[in-house]
Amino acid sequence: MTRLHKILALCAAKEEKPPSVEYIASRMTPVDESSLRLPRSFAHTMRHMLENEDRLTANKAMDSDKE
Amino acid sequence: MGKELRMRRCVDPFTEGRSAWTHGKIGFFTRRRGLIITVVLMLLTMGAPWWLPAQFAIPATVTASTRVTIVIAAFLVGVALTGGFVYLRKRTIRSLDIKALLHDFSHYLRDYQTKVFKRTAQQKGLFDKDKVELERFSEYMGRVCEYTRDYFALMTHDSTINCAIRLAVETDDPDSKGTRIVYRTLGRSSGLSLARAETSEDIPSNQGIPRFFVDDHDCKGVLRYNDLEEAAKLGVFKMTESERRFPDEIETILVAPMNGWDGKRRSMVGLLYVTSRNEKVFQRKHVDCMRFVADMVAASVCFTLQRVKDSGLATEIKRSKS
Repeated sequence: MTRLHKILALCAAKEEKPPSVEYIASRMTPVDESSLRLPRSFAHTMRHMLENEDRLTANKAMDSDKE
Repeated sequence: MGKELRMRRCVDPFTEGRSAWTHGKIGFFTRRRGLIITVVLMLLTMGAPWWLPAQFAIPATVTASTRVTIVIAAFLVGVALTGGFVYLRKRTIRSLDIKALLHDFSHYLRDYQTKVFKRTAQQKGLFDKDKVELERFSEYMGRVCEYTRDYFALMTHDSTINCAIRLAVETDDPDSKGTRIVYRTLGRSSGLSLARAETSEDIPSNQGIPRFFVDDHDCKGVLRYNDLEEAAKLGVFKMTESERRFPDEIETILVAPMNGWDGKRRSMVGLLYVTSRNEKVFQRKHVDCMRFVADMVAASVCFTLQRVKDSGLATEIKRSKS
């Protein structure tokens, strides 16, 4: 171990140990959606806004075809 | 140990950035222990004339030309002052630029919200044929991404920074014949390829990054991806067609949850991504900046959606469609 490594080790000593990558991966595996606190009302409103866009885009395309 | 320290993990979870000053080599010397070591070293150096071995003994007196001494001293002081002022100038300009940008950002959000409030209060022209609210909303998301990109570009001195926002959207689930919630990209800064819109994939809410934040971290913290390929191999990142088609566009990513009022309770309504084409751009000190932007944007997005919902227009769209 060189002196630089010793200094770096001293610097790292203060840092808290983060969770391992394996732990993070385990917390990213699929679970039942109903067990999660999800923004259902928000997502519902968002869906209607996006569907409105699709509808209007289709209308515009039809209008331009007629022209 | 040294090798471990030099190696960067493919992903790092952070909860806050306030302790960033205590980390790294500079952090070692700015902590109390480092300051004590510096003072001890200074005192030891001051005693050098007395404790140095005889062969390195410093002469009691040195004869030097007064003119040369003044020239050298003035030069050294001048260089130190000029360097200090140049550094100060650079720091000050950067700091003022960031403050001005943050003001512009919040000013824009406030103006957008005010306009939404005005339109929904009047219930006139909100979903008109020429300029629908969603077009305005898309433009708004784009502007938010641009502001976020500019903010982080100033913070990191990196011009390759970009930003994207995913929001929660309900979709039909063919498997269960019901609905499910996904996080869909609805805003990108101009530095990212437009073609990404064609290859963009929804992220299911029950797995990957959304699940990590919702289920494990109470929608808090920030994830930093240092190596996407390695992260994908270890199962902590999902490579999409966009990453395969544009492999050089994103090298490292910061991801933060966007939490706000979803209509019934506080929830994770979206995900904020800040990306860079360069390595080792994002540091612990940027974590709180990320959280700040995510919270500010989430509050604004939630306000907008809530106003649309309260005005009953979302229901009207559904009715008119059916």
